[in-house]
Amino acid sequence: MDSPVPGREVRLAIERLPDLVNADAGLSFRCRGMTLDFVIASGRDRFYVPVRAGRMEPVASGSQILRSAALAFAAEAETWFAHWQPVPGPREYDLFALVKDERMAIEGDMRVLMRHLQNLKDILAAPRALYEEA
Amino acid sequence: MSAPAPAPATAPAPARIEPITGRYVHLEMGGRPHRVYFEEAGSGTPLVCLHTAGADGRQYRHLMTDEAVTANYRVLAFDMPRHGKSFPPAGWRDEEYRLTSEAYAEMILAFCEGLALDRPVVMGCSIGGRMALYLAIHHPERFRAIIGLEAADFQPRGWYDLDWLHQPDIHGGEASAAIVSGLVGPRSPDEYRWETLWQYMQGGPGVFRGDLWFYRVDGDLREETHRIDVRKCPLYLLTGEYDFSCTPEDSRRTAAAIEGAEVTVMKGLGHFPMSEDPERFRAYILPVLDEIAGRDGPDQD
Repeated sequence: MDSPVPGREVRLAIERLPDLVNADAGLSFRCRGMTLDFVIASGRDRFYVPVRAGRMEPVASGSQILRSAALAFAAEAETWFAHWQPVPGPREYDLFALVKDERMAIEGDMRVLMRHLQNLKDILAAPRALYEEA
Repeated sequence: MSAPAPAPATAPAPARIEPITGRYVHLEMGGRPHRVYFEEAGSGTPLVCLHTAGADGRQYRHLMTDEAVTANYRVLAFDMPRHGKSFPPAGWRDEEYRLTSEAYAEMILAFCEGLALDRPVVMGCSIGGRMALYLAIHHPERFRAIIGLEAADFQPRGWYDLDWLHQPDIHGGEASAAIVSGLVGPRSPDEYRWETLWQYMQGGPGVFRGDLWFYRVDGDLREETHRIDVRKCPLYLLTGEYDFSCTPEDSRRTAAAIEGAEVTVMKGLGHFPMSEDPERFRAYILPVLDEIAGRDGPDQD
């Protein structure tokens, strides 16, 4: 892994997620039918991500008592960091590859997942743009 | 009065028309009549191409327009019943579609017989790759060479629930495409990535799920691959580096049980090499096709 501090890198990337998604006109258009809250878990950190008709609202972290979410995507920070490299490795390029290898857990309402799977994959891959810029 | 303007010196160039032709052949399969769509291009040794689960023969369109291939090969790809432009058999509404090894093999043999193809080369991808292995086990005398793309002896049954592919309130095509989207290599051209996935979005209800019955359940060849004799029929195995469905390790494990078999790992490619990145794929497949052509010499079929 290139970064000595993927946990911090991942936190910063998740916090920038709304800007990345909302600035991507194509992605926002494709997600226009999607309104839901989901969680990104990176190690012990949890981030609540609200999406409203394809627009992403600010990410909330820290204590979120009694806050519900339709889905949670949980992996170690190193796994998220690997997933966001400009050209990820063969087993790190896709969420389902990570799930198959038990490096990621997807929990919650699978019906919601399957309704929005490609859009969720695209949103969760959006931080790749940060590393392409760098 | 001024003279009329002169006619343009040159007429507009005619639109480019590809050399692919498509027709229908009527075949009896499983005791039922089928009208099967197929496309072809080129002349020479017949090369029958098998598409992946949930897709259709359009995956081979690049191969059919590659003169380096069509100069020596008559490339043919049929849409399996329920796929592409091949309708399901009459009565399909009231039955659950589950592709079996026997039905799939019968389909290929019926197609080859129906078109009077003399010992064609067969090349299949994914479920077609599995079927390539099945044909190498059960019908090696019928083919002059067999090419398995993304081919392995089996897949684990349960790492995701196939029932999600056919639900009343989920678009099965979009869900299928989303599941396989990460099987396309990361450097594949965007145009061809989404063209590949469009076929999944177009899939008929329950068809991808039904195809995967063969891939996941019925087509386990682990007890049989040792019977493959590559001296009877040469076998080529090529697997994409980015394929996490049939991984390079899966193909290597498969090859390890077959005396004389080897695997070529295609760098940067995923599960759909011929359609996701045709330029990268041709660098791997042309040497194979040239070797087969050199082995048998040209054959006017």
